[in-house]
Amino acid sequence: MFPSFFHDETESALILRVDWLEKEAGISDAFFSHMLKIDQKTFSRWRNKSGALSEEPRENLQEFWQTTLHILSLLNFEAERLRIMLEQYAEKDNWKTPLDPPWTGTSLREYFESQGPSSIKKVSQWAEDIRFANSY
Amino acid sequence: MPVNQSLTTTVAAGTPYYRITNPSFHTTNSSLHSKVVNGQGAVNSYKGTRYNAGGVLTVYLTENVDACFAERMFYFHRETLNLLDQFHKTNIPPLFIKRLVLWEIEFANDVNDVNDVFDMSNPSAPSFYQVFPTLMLNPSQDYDYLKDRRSFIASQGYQGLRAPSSRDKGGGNIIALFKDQSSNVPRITPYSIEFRLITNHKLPFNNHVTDILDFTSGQARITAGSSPKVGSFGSSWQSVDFNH
Repeated sequence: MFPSFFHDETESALILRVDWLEKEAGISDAFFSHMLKIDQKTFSRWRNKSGALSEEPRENLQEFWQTTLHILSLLNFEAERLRIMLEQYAEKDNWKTPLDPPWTGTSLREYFESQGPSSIKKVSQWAEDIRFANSY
Repeated sequence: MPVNQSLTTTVAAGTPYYRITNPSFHTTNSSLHSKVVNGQGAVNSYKGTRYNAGGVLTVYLTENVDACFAERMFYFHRETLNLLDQFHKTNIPPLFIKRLVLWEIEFANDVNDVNDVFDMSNPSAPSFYQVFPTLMLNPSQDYDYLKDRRSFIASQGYQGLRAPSSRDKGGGNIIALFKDQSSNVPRITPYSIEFRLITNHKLPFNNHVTDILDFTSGQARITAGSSPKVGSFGSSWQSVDFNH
């Protein structure tokens, strides 16, 4: 069985999700601050329950969690595979298809960090296409 | 135009319906289990699927376990083949076995408090709203027109639709409900299950370099739950045939 925070939408559950991701997927407060485009101290204070996070980064974090669940579904919910996938370089290819990963030419972790919140939706849509769409 | 009562059915209280989710919904807090029928997965989807456009709340269920397994097995195959097709770019190897949760769901109240469920398994029903039966049963993923028809059916005041499963070779039905049902669930029972792919020789598919997939069949088994059997499925691997 999975811990309640996987599907509990409270703010304390959101903090537990971040804790879980840092432990299981090997990412850090620095990763989250880069991806959310906010100051790392602000993020760490929120995570330690000594500060608040504004609405936009909280919504982006919620969306990142949903994206993580989509990806974990592809990986049979094996967290170690998520850790590996985040660091895996995606090859560039001249032959473009709608199912190309949006992070081609870099790793998934670097893509999230460099592209910020807009990357979350793109990766979520890619995972949805892999799970449900026709190939073309 | 009002609801045509002669073309409706009831999603009845106390009758078991089925749905499969990823295992994360099986949380330690059982009060969260009813989220399985809140329809938010469809809301969060940007493209939608057969009977919903992207972002439109829909709760998909089946009337029997076989249809549920056939529907989900199809998408397991699609996912594996898409991952395999992208493997040279992503370096993400597809997995050939999948942990899932089967939910047996009973509603407290009939889903016809306001209006009814449009029954497209009734031979007279599809043509009433210009739904082409071929598209309902089409095992490919040509969903645009069906999404359009669902929107129209919902606009007429129906609470959902019932349609033949395009994947189930046994003729089972799917249900698509248009409203959140999470507060209408007195009983919801999880069963941990596993799916696996098989080869064209009906052996476990273990190696994408050498094995050839059986494109219209997989296997499933129950790994944990309150009962050793659900439908005809138990702890031994059993064939799940589906249209692809």
